[in-house]
Amino acid sequence: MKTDLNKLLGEASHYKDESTRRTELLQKAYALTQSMKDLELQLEVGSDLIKAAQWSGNTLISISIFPQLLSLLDKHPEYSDDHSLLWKYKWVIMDLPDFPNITKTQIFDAVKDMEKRYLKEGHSKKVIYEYKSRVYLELGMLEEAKGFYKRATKIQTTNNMSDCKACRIYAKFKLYCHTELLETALKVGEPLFTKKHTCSSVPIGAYAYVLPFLMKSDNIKLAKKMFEKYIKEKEKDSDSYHEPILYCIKARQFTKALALLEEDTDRFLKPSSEDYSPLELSSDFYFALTYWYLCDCLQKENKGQIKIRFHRDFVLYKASNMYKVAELKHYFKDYTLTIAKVFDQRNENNFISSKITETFSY
Amino acid sequence: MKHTFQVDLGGMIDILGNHLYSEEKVFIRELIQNGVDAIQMRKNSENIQGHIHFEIFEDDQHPQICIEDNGQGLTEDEIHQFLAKIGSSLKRNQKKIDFERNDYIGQFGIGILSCFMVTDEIVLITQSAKGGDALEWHGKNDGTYTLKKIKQKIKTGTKVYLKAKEPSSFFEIDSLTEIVRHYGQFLPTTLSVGTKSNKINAEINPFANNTPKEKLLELGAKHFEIDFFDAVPLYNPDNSNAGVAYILPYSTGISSKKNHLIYLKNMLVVESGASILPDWAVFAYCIINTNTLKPTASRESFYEDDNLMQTKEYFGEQLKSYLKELSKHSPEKLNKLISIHHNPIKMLAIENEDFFRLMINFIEFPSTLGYITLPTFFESQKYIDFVDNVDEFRQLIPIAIAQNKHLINAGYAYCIELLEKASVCFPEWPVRSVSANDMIQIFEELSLEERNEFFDFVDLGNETLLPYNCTFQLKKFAPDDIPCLFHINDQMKILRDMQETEEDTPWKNIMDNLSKEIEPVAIAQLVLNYNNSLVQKLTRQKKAELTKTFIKILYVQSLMMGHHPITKKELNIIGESMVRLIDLKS
Repeated sequence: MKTDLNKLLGEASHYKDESTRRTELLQKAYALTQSMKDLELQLEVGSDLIKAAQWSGNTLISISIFPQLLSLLDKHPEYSDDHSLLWKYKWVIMDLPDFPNITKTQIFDAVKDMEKRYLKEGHSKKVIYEYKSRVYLELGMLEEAKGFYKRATKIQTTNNMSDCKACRIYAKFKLYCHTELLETALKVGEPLFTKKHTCSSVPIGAYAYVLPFLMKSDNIKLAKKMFEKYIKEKEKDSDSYHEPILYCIKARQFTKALALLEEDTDRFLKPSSEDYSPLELSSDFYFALTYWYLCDCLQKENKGQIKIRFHRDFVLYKASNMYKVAELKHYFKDYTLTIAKVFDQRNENNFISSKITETFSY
Repeated sequence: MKHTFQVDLGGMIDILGNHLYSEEKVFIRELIQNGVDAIQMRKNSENIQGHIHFEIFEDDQHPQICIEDNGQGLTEDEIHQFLAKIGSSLKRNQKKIDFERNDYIGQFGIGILSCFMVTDEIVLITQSAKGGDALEWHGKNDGTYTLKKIKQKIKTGTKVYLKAKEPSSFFEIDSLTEIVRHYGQFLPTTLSVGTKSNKINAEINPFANNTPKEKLLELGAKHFEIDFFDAVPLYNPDNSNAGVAYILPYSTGISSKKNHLIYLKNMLVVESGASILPDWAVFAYCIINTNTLKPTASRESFYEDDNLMQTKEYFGEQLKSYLKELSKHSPEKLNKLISIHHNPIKMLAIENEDFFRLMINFIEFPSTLGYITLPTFFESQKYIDFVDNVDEFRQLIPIAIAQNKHLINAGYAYCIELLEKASVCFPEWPVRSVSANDMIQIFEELSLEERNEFFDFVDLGNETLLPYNCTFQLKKFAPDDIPCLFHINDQMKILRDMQETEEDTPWKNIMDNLSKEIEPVAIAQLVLNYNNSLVQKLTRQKKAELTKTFIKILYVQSLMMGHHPITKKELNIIGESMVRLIDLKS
């Protein structure tokens, strides 16, 4: 078994963290460590798996094993891994709002647990407040997000649980996009746009994130600039962003929009599909909204049919790749509205459904 | 009101001299470099044969190094301007005059300070080619210096004296010879240590494009202490960057340390870590000389600018050409190379379609037919069915062979990506993913009579495995000696992990909520083979408890064979079953 494990780990080392294949191999390796009952190894491989799963977008995998690793560390503090698992707690916490069937109470119970563990290890409350602010922002509870951000800024000291400067600015920038004047947010984001501070998803995330806000304020010139910067950075990043596609649609660059959409086709699949991944609802919502917006714009341009590549297990898949725009629009409209409703119910506000109105106002 | 920063000169010298460089021995490199540049400067107006000579002698029982060059030398003004002004370089200043000239190695004006890592005082005696008196300069590590004229006439050039501040191997002749050779052996300038006739320049020049391959391999073996698989000359179109890539005789991972030796104008500056080759070329070490790449201040790495990127691309293309040439003229050698470096070759094939089309004829995959290339597999089967998981492949080998179906094992690194690429590049190849579930679907169903007969048995099996979220079926498949086949999908693996979350933690409720969503698509199935004699016996025996016990044992055995983690509940099955069997026997 040890040989198999080493082989799997060796295979996994050939892939970068953002590769799904690395996640698959580490998942198998993790299962072996469970069978071997080698707790230290389980913690080590599990920690690598969480990182790979997070970076490759397989968040459900990282969430599913995270509590096991926490319990393992509780029982065997001697295997403490230089806060590596606690560091990853922040990532996992930020994934929870993406699952509408996790209640707000459950999310904040987990945040409380993270807080308890951080304080026990002597970490500053600053990072807790920052993450509470981020969680509230994800839930669309903007006043609370602002409140916790303010509390975080009152604490000067950062420590080794604090994010890097680029990520801290990115979080502030995102918050300001929603709660302050866009000019102020852009000023905050300047060191990201100029690449003075960079991290794995910065600046590319920032270039994408700002686009809907620029379109909303009709600043198309700057949106074009940000989009171009996004495209330049894109090849270095494996994350999917819907915002640049919205920009393309708004700019009537339909071919480019379709090409970007076709880069990420593992969505909206039949549950019987091998590639079906349940619960990816948050990003599915934004992509469904993007398709809906695209179809709406195409209809306004009198395009009745469109050729587009979907996964062969896509619910409406046609081997000819030719689809009726009206049919696609109807499907994605229903899909978007259904998911928005689920999220709004959980969040007890209309933060998610307001994105629909905003998108159609561009 | 404007203020200016105060600079603590002693502290500054300490930072530059003791902290900028990663190794103490680089002071020798810096001294060679200054000598080479001084000679180059003199050569601009005179036809001379450059020579740098190192000597060691003892003064008051303190060993000293003397390095002498027959370069341009320095005038008094130049000493004040460049030698005593940190960050100011004579060579950079020269370049301002003649922007196109780029013959010098150094340009930052800080190299001499590296000597303070081994000495407290630098003594420099110089005679400028421009004329004037010879000069003697004493520079101390506290930032002060003195300068005086020397009456007697000395030869044009510069001598630098360093007295060891503490015992050090750098001040021993053997070590010094090795270090001088290490940094400067490929320089066109003559280097000597001890006596002027003891020249240490290398006989083989790896940067000349006509050096025979055996000589290059000999040089590589000497430098890296590795008997390389092969040597590949590298150069960019204007030959400004040239050298040789050595193919390793063993495999390395993508994150392995990059051992490249990079020379700047024939002087060794970077010994490891620099990425001069593309990421996929992990199978090669190289010795490169560059005339155009821009070194950092410590000269221990290069700026990642467009020039470096372009050079990387050129070198990458040459490595690809080398592999293509092998495919045409030495296919056996290529096969051997691929057997050692299959992962980087696969990685490259995935990135580059032309290369893929070529290499796909050489890359072998494990399969039920043994190791085989995709074209050969397709030739014999007219399809390409693959399993993406090593454990599942192992489980399916006998079953697939018995059904006269053949499978590729794509559970190893880059196999799936290659198969995906194959389906795009060769649309006529039906490339299909096969899982245990697909095999289950084609197994022979029971006849209606058999179905009726074993209806209750199947119900009992489902009831037994229900607590483990596993379904139970009875089918017929070859070979007869296999009693069952087990399949579990990815969602079930996640669900099983979620169910292991401990009670009384805030995560338990979260996992329960998520589990509810996954359950409908999580699948585990145990299919018993009615052709198997053990299974036939089991279906006919009348004691329900005994049947349940055996079904549970088969279930746990399947989990273990597939290397799936066993939960506490499942682990208990073994113990409970043994007790039950003993009870039934008694």
